[in-house]
Amino acid sequence: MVLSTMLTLTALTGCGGNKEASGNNTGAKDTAHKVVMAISGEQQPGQERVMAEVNKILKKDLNMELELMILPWGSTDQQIQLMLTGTEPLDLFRLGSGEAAGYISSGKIEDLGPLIDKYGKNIKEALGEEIAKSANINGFVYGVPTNIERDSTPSIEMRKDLVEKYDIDITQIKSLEDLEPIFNKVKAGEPNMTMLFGAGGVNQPATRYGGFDSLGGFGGVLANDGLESTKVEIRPATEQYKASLDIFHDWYKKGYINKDAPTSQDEPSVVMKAGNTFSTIVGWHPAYQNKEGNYDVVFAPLREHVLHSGSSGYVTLGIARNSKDPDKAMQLLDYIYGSPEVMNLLNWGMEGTDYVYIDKENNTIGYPEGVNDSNAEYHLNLGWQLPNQFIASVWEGSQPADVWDRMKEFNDKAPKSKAFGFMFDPKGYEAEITAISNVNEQYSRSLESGSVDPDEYLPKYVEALKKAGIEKVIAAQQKQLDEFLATKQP
Amino acid sequence: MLNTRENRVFQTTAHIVMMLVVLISVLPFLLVFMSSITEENSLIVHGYSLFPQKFSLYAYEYIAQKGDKILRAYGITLFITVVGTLVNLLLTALLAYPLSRRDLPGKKFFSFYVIFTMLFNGGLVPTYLMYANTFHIKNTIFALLIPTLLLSAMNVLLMRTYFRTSIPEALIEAAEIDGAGQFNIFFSIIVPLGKPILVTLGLFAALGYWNDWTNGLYYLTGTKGEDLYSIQNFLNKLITDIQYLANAQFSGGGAQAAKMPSVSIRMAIAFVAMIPILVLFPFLQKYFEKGITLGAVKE
Repeated sequence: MVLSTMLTLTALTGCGGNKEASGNNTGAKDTAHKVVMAISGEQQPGQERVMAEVNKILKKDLNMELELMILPWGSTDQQIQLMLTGTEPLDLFRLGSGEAAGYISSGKIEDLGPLIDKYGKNIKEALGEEIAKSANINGFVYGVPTNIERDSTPSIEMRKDLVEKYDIDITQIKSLEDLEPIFNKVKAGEPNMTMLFGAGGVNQPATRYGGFDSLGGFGGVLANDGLESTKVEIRPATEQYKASLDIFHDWYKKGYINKDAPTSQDEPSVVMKAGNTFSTIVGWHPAYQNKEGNYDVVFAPLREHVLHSGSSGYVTLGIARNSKDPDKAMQLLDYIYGSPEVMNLLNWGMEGTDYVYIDKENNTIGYPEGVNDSNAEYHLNLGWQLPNQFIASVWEGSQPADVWDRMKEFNDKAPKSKAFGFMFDPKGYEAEITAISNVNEQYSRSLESGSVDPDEYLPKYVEALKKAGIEKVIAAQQKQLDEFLATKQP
Repeated sequence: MLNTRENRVFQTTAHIVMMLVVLISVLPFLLVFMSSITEENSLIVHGYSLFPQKFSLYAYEYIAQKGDKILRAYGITLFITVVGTLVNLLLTALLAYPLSRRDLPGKKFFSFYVIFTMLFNGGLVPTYLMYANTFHIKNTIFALLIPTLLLSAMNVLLMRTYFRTSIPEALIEAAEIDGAGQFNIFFSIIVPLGKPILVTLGLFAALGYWNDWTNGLYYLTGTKGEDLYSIQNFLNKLITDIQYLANAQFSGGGAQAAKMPSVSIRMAIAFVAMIPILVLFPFLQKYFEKGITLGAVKE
């Protein structure tokens, strides 16, 4: 009892102290217009100090202030939705093509098209005219894409030490079939190891191997990355899907793929750390880390890098209806797209305290003496959620200094799906789409991990999808796609 | 009891069934504890096991050394549990006692007022808007204390019934004749005599506060909010974050997930969060049984 009262008292004083501190902050001079931006991530102890520095710049140039709100990964969507139901201050927030349709139909976000035309000078320069307004559904621009990779190359990621030990020539790997002899060889030497790791909803071998333009993931797909045909199909009914599943099922039977793949929720990097895994299929791009767990890894592409229909709409920054002044929010956003100083501050913190220049010429930075991953006060490292990481400095060691030049080339040179730029408007088909995603949930993990026989389960899967109404959705997708293609061709 | 064959059969089956129930409730708990003292890599390679191959106290060392956030969350949980439970009991008793008096004017109305809230409420979104925009409890300690947990109509009715059936009206009349005021009666007669129900409902309230994470999820956001996270919010955030990142479609998800505390640490936090309730329960059990059975009959 005495103990609990004591703890109570300390907790009480602790909280009291806090409240005062926060009271003081909000009470300060409020002449500059404040813009609130929400992203997901981990709280940074040095946030207040860094934001003060950001706001010095923003006040001088725009007479505005930015409040960065970092929400937990897992509950970001819920918290944003709650905030949007009220009148809470929220201007900019991250949203993807998945949520956009719902927000548009419930009137929770602004159409950014006119705003980009009015203020988006830096945005257009950074992204290009075509990409800047590409995140739209029926012309309603829901967000400005952040500058990241546009889709990725399905590749096999292998532990470097084992590749060297077994003398594997990775330049010879061109397709899925080429992996079989490699697994065979490594498995013979390391009988207890998992050759190919699969888990969860997106890290299953066949899911990562991809090969389809999923048209936003609502139901129908274009086979062969949408490079040839524009006929919307049911994925499990295609030859291409079955062919890859046959291979994975064969590997699962041979013990190459971990037994618990269909149910595991582990992250590949966490499993790699345990030292029991040889390889996993990933979506590679030039900024991909070359370390997984504690191991150096090497990559070999299994397919071509193709830009799919929604490839620029996955990660965008939208403006909420709650915003008191969408014009100002857009002005501020556009400013950040063109400001390496603000981008560096937001992503890496303050020079001297949170980072130092390692090589000024190549614009690479690293931790100052005595600072590391576990005691850093500000090290957001979430460039893909911030407007334009391509103009910020590059962190030493994690990526090559010219990573963003390579990324630009990677994005620009990739062939495009015929449906590139198309975005399906799911309005009116919500019930079917929910039913379809339930069916996917039920079948995809066990099939795409290779754990069940495709000959037996694929027909059942297709049958269940048809019952869920996929044909109706596909007809709508086909119609919208044909209309889109008609406007595209001269 | 009769030593008939029938009775023996009944006793044996009853025991077996009860033992199975005990196993079902105890095993998961044991599994959490055992995983918390299993070495991390062994956990990933061999999975959860009641008899781990390699032991390690790393998870607890981690909490002790680096767990300033965890300790802070722990303190917040203790604070809201103690303060919340006391305020909850006070309010419940102050409402239940008058309702238990047969001579309360407008009693029908007040009873209806309480029961109505059991049947109807505003739903999540209006409730959220009310608390966030009208009462401004967002990102304050009140967010963890007030919504849902502060007063429950069910508890008020249980307590009212207890007061009415277990405390003789004559006692109150006698006190009135001796010149005691209403507050005097309440604090010197009702509260001491109502100890079993107070302890029982107090335990309910304490459990509610200790285990709650939804309030924190709705009303605590951003840096200011996360400073006020209770231990359950902290755990919930860890687990949902890890799930989200493991299924993330974007680049860099893996790198973020690798920074998260490992499985054994998560299990250790969960175990540490359970301890106080475990310790408290045996001491309060005798009141607990009495309180539940006495309050069982509602009129």
